[in-house]
Amino acid sequence: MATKHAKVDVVTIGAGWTSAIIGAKLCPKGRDVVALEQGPQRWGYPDFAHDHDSLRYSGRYAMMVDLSRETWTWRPSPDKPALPMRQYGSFNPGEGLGGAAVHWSGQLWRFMETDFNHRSYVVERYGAKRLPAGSTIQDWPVKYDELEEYYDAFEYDIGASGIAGNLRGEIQPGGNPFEAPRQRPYPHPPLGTNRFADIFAAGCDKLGLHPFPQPAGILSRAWTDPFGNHRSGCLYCGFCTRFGCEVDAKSSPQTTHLPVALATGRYDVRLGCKVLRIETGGDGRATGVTYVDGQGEEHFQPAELVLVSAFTLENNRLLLLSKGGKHPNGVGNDRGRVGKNYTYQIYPAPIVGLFEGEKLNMYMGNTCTINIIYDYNGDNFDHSDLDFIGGMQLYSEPCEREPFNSVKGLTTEDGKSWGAAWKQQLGRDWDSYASIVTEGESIPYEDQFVDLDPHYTDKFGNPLLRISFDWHDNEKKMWRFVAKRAQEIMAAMKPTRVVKFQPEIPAYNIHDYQSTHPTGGCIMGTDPGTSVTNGYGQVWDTPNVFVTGAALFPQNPGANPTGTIGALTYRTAEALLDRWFDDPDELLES
Amino acid sequence: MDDTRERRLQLTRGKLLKLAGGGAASVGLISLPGCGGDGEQTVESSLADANVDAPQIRSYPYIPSQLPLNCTVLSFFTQPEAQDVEAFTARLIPGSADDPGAREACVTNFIDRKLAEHKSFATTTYFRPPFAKPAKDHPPGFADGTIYVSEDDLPRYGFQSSLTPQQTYRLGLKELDAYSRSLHGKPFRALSDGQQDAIIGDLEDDKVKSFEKPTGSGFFDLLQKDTLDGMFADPIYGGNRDFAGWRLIGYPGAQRSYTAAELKDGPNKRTIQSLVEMQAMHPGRPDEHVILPISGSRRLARRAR
Repeated sequence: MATKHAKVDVVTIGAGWTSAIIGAKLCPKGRDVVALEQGPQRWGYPDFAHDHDSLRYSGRYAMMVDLSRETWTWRPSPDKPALPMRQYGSFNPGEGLGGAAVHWSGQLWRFMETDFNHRSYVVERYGAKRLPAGSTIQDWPVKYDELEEYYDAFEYDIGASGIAGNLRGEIQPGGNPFEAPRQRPYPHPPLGTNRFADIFAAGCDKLGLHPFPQPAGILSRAWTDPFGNHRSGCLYCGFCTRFGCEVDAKSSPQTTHLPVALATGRYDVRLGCKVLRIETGGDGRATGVTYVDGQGEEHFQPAELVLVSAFTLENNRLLLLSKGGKHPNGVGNDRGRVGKNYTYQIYPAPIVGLFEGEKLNMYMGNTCTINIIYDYNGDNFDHSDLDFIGGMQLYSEPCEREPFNSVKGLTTEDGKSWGAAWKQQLGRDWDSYASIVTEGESIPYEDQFVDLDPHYTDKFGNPLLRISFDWHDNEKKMWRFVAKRAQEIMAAMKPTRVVKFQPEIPAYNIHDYQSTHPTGGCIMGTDPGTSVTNGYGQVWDTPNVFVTGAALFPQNPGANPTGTIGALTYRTAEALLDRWFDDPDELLES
Repeated sequence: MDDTRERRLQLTRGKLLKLAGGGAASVGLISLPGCGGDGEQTVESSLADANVDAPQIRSYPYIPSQLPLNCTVLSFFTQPEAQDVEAFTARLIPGSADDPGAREACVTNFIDRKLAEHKSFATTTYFRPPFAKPAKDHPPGFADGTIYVSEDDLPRYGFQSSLTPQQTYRLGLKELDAYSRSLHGKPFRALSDGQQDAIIGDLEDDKVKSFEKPTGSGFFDLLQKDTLDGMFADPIYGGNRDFAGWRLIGYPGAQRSYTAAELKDGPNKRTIQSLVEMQAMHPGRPDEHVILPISGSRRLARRAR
């Protein structure tokens, strides 16, 4: 018999960043929030004071979701078998207080204006027949202009570092000339860049491209934030992605919104608690969630509003697992849309160069101490005579290189990564080689989706989420084009030799780390027939359930999601406070 | 041999005698090569008691263990197994006293500790059936409790073995021993460098038919991964002795910080160090670049006072 708790205003799945934002916005206004977090508690200092341990955090994934409890299955296409990702690979969802926003890289973006009307933009500029076969690209229900003030607020609250490229329509030197107009510059100057980033930028300059430093959710200088948190500037220690920051230079819920929410006494985090499903009543509304605590005891937490605020993949699974009553196929899934428009991100490196005699200082800094170009992202280049749509960022290889997992990256000319010749080369060149990396957009297709796996279950006996995903023709062609551009840039950088060039995109696999940006599946839209939620993340068929995070993205642009997730959550929090609680059965209108 | 190394070995010998109650012990991977013969005897260190699920490490704050002192006590491997493993790792990363490789860096000790410290995997692993089989005589798909996957696709799914690392070593080393003896009449550890290299190359390319469970490449991959981990992870895990791996590649180990200028110009003088040797953090003033953060729980605690 499940223990029944007193009803609260909001229950959130996980205590990650979007949950913390909702808590920080709603709790000071008198709303009670319960956050059910499957992992442990952790704070910057002293919990991470001695975490410069590559093997523990990068090698053994100490901050990630416990795969022995649950994982995800994958298959390249619906006609092939799906197998579980038994050990970490393609993506690294986190668990514990603050969620993945504690071990994230800090790459902080706004999406471009055209990303928000992707479909209509392509159709208008190039014609409908240029939409790739089988693709289900949609316009977002929210446009950049509506989101700008929320992007701005999020960046100023968390302390973003960077150079503005477009200030109220005027292009600024040193920034990203392709970015959408921003009202204010970044609150902090950009982080430093490393030796290799500067070689990359010089190569781009020679070719007339537009390199700029990575905008970061990492402080470039010490700062007391608007909430009263004192935070250090970045120490460039080289232990950032997959690590917690011991000086709170990297922005996380712990350094920003969690203290605000917790200080009200109305934000109740329950650790070690795994939510199993959303419960619904006879009228189809959500009544709360059922969860299991660390002792294995079952609980029911009633709530006026259920915030589906876990990682993208878990948000999809949770909606699908919440079957019953008026929602036999799961909450949000009355029209069979949950899991559709699942997208990812293109990451691998098309080209690796060796710069003999140079020390590139790859082991210092972090993923944001790099330079980037946007010249080949989105529609920043004319696609009229090309055979694909969309594009990719190109950037100098992220820093914080760790020895144990990078030494295999430099193979001998006959492809070997062991033996005396390999060892000798490694000793000479370990810090003298580096790659140009892509980060490309991923568009949705009819045969690319997530659903429940029929064979594999988690520790509680519930089906795992099954991912059907592979690169399609558009991505293959995009890669071919952008890899050639990377080759031109590398040539301009004058390496001793090219160690590796990958002219074709490698087949997608689940074992190499690529990006923790699986997106979509619970997408926002304007039509309940082709989306799961409205522009606020409010689920069409269950209006007191809201989804947050990247599961809402109709497709994934060529940039990391966190900035947009923050902005969307700020906007939703405002709508909840201003309107929703007054009339909780109404669908919010833009 | 420098003083530190000498001191460590002395400590090791003293400790060993104590552990073994003064009797014969299966020891000597470095200090007493070949001394134990082919006996199957194993000294169980206290590590075997630890035997924890992966990850053993979810609690915060993280307090790293101290640097291990000895390189020779075995907790998982028998001595012949350890000698084969050491011979294997020493071909993957060959070395000498002047230019240390896997043997000199105590990589075998790292692997032995890892296998003893964990019940099975050192990283969280989904280990529920069904396990996949290559679709050789069977169409791809689910049948009779097994999932068949085309051989071309199978590598894309990553780790799919039904063996724990401990089983892979036990079974793989047994197979390696039998294969070496069938080819050359000697155990792997007694073969010439060239003979060992040829076998390792054939394992890597899955050319040794007798290796089925584990497969040759599965065995090679695990040994190579563990060798690289042992050579290049922090010395607290038992390998990378005297920073042999980090000295090789010019990596200074765990440092507290660098400056933006160092990102461009290279590091100021650094002492190579383990993460247990990192300087403590000192509280600073809010207007300094480096301050002890006062957000999160500390800030809440301050409010409460």
